[in-house]
Amino acid sequence: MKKIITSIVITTLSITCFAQNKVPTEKHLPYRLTTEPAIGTRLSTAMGAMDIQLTNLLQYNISRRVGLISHTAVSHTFPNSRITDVKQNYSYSIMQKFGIGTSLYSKHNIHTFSFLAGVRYNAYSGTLNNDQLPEHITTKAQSTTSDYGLMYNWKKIRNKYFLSFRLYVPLKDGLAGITENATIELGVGIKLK
Amino acid sequence: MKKLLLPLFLSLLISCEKEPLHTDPESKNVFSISSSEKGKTYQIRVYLPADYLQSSDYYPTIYVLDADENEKFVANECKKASESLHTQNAIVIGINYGDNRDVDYTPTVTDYGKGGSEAFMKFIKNELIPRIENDYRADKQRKSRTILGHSFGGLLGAYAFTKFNEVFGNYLLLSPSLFYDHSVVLQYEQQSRPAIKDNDQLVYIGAGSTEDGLLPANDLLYQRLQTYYLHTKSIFNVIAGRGHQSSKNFDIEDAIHFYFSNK
Repeated sequence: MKKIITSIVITTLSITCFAQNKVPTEKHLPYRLTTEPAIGTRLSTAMGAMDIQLTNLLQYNISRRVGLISHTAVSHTFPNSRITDVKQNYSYSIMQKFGIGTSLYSKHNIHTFSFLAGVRYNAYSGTLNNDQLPEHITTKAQSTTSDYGLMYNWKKIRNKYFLSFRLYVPLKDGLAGITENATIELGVGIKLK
Repeated sequence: MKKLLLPLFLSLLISCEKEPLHTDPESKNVFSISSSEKGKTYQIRVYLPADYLQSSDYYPTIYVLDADENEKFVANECKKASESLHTQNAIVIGINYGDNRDVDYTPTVTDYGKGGSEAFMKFIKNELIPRIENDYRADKQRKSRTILGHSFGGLLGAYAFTKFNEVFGNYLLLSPSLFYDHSVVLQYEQQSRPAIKDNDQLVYIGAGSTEDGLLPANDLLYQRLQTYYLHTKSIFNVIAGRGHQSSKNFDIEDAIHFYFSNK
């Protein structure tokens, strides 16, 4: 896994360093500034751990190859259907990451590979209601932790509006972290500048 | 050439991180045991402390469930904890699958389990432990025996606490699935409490903070231990920002440290 990630990093950074000698001008840059709202979910949704995310990606391209990125997400996690005696009061996460990416262009597509880092806030409350147990307790948990990883963003170029697909792979906690927190997102991007 | 230096340097920085320790602990014995109770054969791996061969001491034991996944990491953490706390290490016994884990680790029959915990615990109590204590210098006192399990393994550990409390004196329960079958093990605890509440024991309950619906049942068990079990030292450790799998190794580390600090 580390070799794959290292190869991706080397490749993207090499592309950046071997950029065209010609000074980029705006007419070579399809989008200077974009906002890309989307709906997403964790890949583990396929295994029963369901959540829904509302996300937004802001990308400012300082050149044709290099962009600065802000990624914001709010998610709601649905209760686990296997747990029958706990009423979920709430379960949500708020995530904010910043990063840098490099873009590859084809005729109608932009492929952006970026590294993002930031924070993740999780909050949960659930109440145990079981007729066989005399106690009814409410448990709360919350945490603020670091969050970092790699994102692939595919933009299908139209004009001012475009399709945006994203895959986020966290680097924290190895395969377990990927299984729990890798996400996919699909939305519509808007050219702001 | 200069253009290559920056990406090469950054890639080296990213790839340089401390590797988790995967080296085998010093001494490991392997044997198979056929259970007349279960009609199955279990492979057992025994990790001996570094000073075992030079010593005539008797050692405490830690029985590890889901052994393939966990035993080496547990054995390494035991070595680290015992050295840092300057205390005697333990013999680590990894119990590999002889039957499916949804048979051996679940106490009742549901869509997710086959309810074979009682037979499996009888195998451990009446066949495996006597074999270990006969073949090795393993301390035979209840307070020197520990069971460690994650997820369904933690559920089995909690089941052992309620129904086979005479076997183990220490319970390291990592993300235990206490919600199983409408929290049936918490019902067992209520029934068994008068008989077990005055026993001396250690109980570690750990879980990731994003394990959501798994948390309340574990919180309740911990609150009961605090309220009713005056001779039990217990802790409920929530690993911040981590889930069911990503919290496991952190939990093992904390659980082992809790055990060695309090045994």
